[in-house]
Amino acid sequence: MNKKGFVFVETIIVIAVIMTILIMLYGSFISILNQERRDMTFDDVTYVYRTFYIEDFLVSLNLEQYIKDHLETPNSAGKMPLLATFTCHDDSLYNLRDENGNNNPSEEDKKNFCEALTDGGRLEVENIYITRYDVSDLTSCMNTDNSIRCASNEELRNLTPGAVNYFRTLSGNEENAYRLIIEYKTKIDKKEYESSDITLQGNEHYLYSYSNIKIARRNVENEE
Amino acid sequence: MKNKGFTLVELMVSIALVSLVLVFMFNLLGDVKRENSLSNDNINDTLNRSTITRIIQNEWIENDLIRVEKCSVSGTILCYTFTFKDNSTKDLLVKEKELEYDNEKWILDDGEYSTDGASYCFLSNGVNYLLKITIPVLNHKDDNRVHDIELIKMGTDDLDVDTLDVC
Repeated sequence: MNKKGFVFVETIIVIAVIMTILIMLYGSFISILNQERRDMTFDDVTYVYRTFYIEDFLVSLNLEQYIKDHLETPNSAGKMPLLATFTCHDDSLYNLRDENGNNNPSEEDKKNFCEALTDGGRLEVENIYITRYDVSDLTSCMNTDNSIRCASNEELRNLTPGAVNYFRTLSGNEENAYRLIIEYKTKIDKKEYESSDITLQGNEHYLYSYSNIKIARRNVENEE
Repeated sequence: MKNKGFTLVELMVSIALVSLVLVFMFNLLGDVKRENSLSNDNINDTLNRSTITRIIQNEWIENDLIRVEKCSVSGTILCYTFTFKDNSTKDLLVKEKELEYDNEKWILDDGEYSTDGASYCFLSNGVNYLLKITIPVLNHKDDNRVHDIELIKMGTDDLDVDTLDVC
């Protein structure tokens, strides 16, 4: 057989192999790039400071009891909740009545302030979550496509894909500690933003940003 | 079988296919390079913003801020005067490209400070209060980061504020 070069089929096979390798490289690089672009909205200085101040205020409420009720008590499916969505509307956070059963105006003020702080876009807070500091149980319920697989943990169902993506980046395994995670929603003008954390609602564009902080258990430390 | 190698058409088809993939690859590498450059800039930006925020907010807490008012200094686009419990005052001067506080200056590498979107607001119910000063930065980089500087104070002590803006 006299063969002086490739035949067309051989060339096509070689090109197919090269293209497969290049496409795989492209796929891995593009996912790294997209992750990098998404991560830019995580733990920005502005949001870290905001989260610090919000945490500082929230620990002045009955947060210890709130955590016990929402994270240390089994849910309706008999499972320990992995996540609590915090709301200032919960009366158990405040001592609205004193020992004699009378109204406690200063606690009522605290409640109003908490609601004003977290509602109405003053600090652009969209959701406040409380989890154990070690989020490995929580993230084990999250798939790489940001979907949720633990059906019995109903509290996870309403998480936004951006929040799931953020949770998956968290690490740390401190026991008996809790984490405050805040989802911020900021109205933006630029339409050319490149991020999957931008949503269009009506004619407005919103950017979702995230930050977290370890909850200081001041009451426990003081008692100790 | 007699085979003398590529014909011109075969060669052109092969080159076209490889070129197509290479175009995507070069675009991608361009994006990676751009992202790397943005990332380096953002590290500097983050360091600057965190330093400014930490210095001012720490001073508010340590020296006990009692009053905040707007001021007017020529050449500035935004100006705030902070008065502390010992009656000392410090000015935060924001010019187009630089921010000055307590004899320290931070010059923006990219973009400029802006009055568009600047806010100075106060929320109080007589017990707790929130003070928020936002200094917007118009950045020309095509990224999705916040470049604004935000100063926050929350507390229960008395604070006198010269403003009509309510958060």
